[in-house]
Amino acid sequence: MKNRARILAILICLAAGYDAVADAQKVVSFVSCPIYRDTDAGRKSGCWLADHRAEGQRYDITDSQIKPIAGREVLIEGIVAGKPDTCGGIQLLPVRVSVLPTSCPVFLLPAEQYRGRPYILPAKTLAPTFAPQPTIKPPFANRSYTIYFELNSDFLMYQHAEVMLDEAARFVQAANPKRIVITAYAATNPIMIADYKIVESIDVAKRRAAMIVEALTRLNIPRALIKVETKGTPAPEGELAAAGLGEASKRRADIRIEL
Amino acid sequence: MLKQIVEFENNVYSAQAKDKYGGELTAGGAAGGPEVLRDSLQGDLQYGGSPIWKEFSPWAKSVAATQGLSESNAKAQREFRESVARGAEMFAKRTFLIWDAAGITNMGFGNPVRNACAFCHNMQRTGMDVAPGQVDLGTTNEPSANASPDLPLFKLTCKQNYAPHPHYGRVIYTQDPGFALTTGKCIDIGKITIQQMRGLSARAPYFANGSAATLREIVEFYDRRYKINYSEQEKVDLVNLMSVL
Repeated sequence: MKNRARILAILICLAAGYDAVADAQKVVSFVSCPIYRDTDAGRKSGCWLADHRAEGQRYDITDSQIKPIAGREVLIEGIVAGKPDTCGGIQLLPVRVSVLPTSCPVFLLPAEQYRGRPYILPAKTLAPTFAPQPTIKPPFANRSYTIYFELNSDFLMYQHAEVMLDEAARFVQAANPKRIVITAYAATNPIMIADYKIVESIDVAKRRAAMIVEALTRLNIPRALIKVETKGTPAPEGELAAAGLGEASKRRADIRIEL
Repeated sequence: MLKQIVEFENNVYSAQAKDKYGGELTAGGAAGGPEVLRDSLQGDLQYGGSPIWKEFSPWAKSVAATQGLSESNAKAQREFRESVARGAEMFAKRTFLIWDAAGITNMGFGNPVRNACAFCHNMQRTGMDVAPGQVDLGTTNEPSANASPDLPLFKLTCKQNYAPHPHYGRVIYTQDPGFALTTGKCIDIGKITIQQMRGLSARAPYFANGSAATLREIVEFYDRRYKINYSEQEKVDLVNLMSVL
């Protein structure tokens, strides 16, 4: 029975025109020039693509939380999703995009035969201000939150960072902790991706820490409660590391709330 | 005393109540006018299932005109109301490509990003932006600002050791540095604060620098700036919507 199910699964994959089984955990990292494909399946539904020149493959990087800026190179770190092609490239999911300072040509493609994917609101978003804010009830225990950043960036990613910062602030208000330790990292050990050197200075960690301190104090967390640490390259950790994006997971800040 | 003043200010609701073509803005199931602002919860973000300006969607179904109007005026009123309803739907749903608008297109959404007017004007019943809402629409920065010989033109140069503007680089010509005067950052040159939209028809001219004399000029600016290619009917529908807020 088990074998029949497996054969059926393989046949379904082959029928979909894509060998999802073989590529399910393939991790790709490359630097490229982004391509915008103007598909229209509603708001925020345009496709973003990028060519992995060494492989000769075109990847679909649309699902990155940070989208590219046309005309600027991007660092792409992602995992082959094994999903049907809706944009004109092999879909990466999860995928991270870092916008680099280097320029490249602006590439804009029409939708052609591709329909793109409708935008889906993330599962976790902030509650509107008029709605009752979710309460965090005891018993309380130490908590940690991890906020990820893009390469050389201290930008708090929309629909990622603010959701966690909001929850962290509500937890602090409810649990009255002894202290909050923010440990911000920078990936200071350089790695090479093709001929592009990927490295961050320790100053980036300081900027990340400062950004989180600013956000938490704006959410009425007393500055005196917060201790800040900045460090160089950490071990891979958290959701991104578990998904296979170890390098991307090093560009992060951890918020530890100690009772 | 200060508390009382703030409380008073927080309880003043203003919006257009009547239109010379549309009549009472609460007629025919519509929910225009200031009362609905007073009676609604604040901080309500629009989304696909609950689009902004849905208060005028009942007018999409050819509702009865104001009693006592002549037949031709009643017909004109029904057509006007239908136009307002179409404008409301278009405001929320008609997507176009938004390019090089710092405050939007460098915030992770992508440059370009396909979205509608309601992407920025996203708060129910007011059209304010839920975020702090400073955006470079191109109303003051070259190359998209209207020629304005009566205004100064500033050449701003971003120093090498500071981040350049994400779309315009290090040398920017602007009629108004906008939010950059507050922050000192290149990225903020030409950004202006997104305003709420109630009572628009009574407060021309428009945009922070008054560069649009009429509601029609607002629509023409966006059409040109983002290459939307609105039809004549779509332009009229949007103007009619904005004339009853």
